[in-house]
Amino acid sequence: MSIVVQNLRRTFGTFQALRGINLEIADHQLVALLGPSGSGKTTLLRIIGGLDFPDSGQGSVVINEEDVTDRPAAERKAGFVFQHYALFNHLSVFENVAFGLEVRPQKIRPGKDAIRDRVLELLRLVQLQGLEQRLPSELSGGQRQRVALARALAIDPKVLLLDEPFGALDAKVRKDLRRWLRAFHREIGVTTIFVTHDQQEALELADVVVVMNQGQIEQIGSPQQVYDHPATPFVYEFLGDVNKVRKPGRPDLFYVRPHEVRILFAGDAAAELHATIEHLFAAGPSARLTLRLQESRETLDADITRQQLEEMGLSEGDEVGIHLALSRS
Amino acid sequence: MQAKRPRSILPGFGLSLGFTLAYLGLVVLFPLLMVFVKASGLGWRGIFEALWTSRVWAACRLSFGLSIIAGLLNGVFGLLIAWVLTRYTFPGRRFLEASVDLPFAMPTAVAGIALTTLYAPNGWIGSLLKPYDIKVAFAPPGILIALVFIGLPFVVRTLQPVLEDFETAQEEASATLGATRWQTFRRVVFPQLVPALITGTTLAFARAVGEYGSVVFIAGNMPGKTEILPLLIITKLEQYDYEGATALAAMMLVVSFVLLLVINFLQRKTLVRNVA
Repeated sequence: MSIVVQNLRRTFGTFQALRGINLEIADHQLVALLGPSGSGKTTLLRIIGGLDFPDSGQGSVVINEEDVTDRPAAERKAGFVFQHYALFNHLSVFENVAFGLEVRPQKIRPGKDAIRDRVLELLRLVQLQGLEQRLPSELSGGQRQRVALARALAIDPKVLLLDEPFGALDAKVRKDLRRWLRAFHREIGVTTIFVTHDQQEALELADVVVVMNQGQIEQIGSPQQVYDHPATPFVYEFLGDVNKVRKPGRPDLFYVRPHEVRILFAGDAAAELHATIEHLFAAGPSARLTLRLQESRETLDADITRQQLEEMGLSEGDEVGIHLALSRS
Repeated sequence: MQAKRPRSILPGFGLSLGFTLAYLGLVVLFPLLMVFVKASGLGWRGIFEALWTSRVWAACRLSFGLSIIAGLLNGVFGLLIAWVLTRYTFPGRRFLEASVDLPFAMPTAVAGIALTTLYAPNGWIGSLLKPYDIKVAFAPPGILIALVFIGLPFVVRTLQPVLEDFETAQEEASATLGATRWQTFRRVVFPQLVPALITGTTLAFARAVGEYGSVVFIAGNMPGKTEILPLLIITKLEQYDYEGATALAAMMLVVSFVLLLVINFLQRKTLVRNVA
């Protein structure tokens, strides 16, 4: 279902958490709200879910062409997965997932058997079959995460909202769950928004990345768009490694990603700048060089292939020439 | 044998357990044991005769009955007060917060005198109730009020930390799943408060059973009607009937112990489910 957010403002005391947010999300999309902490991404998510509200009269939230700005969470049918899952500690996995169905008014509440079937189906979907009698305290972090997801899905949500879904998990589980969530989203197709401060997570997982900073949206676009064509210096710096360099004789600042720095022999005529290799780190398919520019004394990171490293026979302390392989500024 | 003990990073198990047993024994169990030793001087028959009187039976019903009611009342209203004190900020909250502990701090006789002045037929509240023929002071309702008064802090103070630590995200989760506020309270919050609620209510009850100071002032102390068990024990002591007094005390101990044991058992059952 589509989501349209218009002109949203939210102030906490004197702190402006959101300063005029406009966002349109099409049906079935998987959207990442990406930004540093304090950028307002969680506040935006909570307002979409009905757990927080904009300053009075400041903006609107429309889900599926229905204005829900003043509707409480209970009426929005937005599945919300909390950062620390917020599972009901006293209820079993089964009861947690069944909760959203059990609390329905009698008229629209499914029968006991229907609830049972639905819960077991959901647990199968999140690969937790056989654990329905466990308590949340008896599960691992990744399992709790998936219980929270199944619980949110039980109400047939119009949208799925995930707050830092992988934040509390260790690196390995994170990666597995990320892959799993992408496949899962493809399968169920519910419009999904997730909040993250991890750029790699956002780029890898989302159809659309919304980059936020200081209560404002810096850029909206596909992962490739925001990575290759950052709209603002902030986006450039926040997404991936980046060097800020001045070319000799020019006042403007260049943004260069490490893989866009070409390393040449010191005497090469194409060299725009010259540097000394301060540190060399070669692990995996590429080598990372930390360079000290001779012209400005600034440091610069460069990634080159292992092959080039060997061919050029570089080591720490060597002098090299540099060509910047792009024209962006 | 030594080798069989599971290794633990916590040092001093033997020493601390030994100390605990010695301390509990000296401070709690040994004195209580003397009650039974003293009472046994009467022999079974003597004990039976000392206890099997209508006066004792009436006091017994009064004391345990009212204490249970007081514990339950405190459970309900203590929960309400703890809820308000932790969930809302309002002017005067700190004042209310501090006043919760007053029943702890005051000599109980002061409470008794204060309540009696208030509820006596010529007191502020007592005089209002008099035209309707409602008697509070010098009647069981007065005793109940005193018992509620001294038990309230137990419930509030045991519930407060649990409420303060409660993860609000669970309530939000409940709301996003479509639950009404009442459903959220009944299905999500309340069940997780039950263990602390039972503890608080039990403490309030236990305190009420043993309460003496505040009750004697307001009770009227009429044998068979408004005479509580602790008072009956004092009365027997004043008449130099030490064995009779200890027989009563032993009986109180046994009944209280059994009740606490049952409550503990119930609580264990709720805790097993709540372990988080």
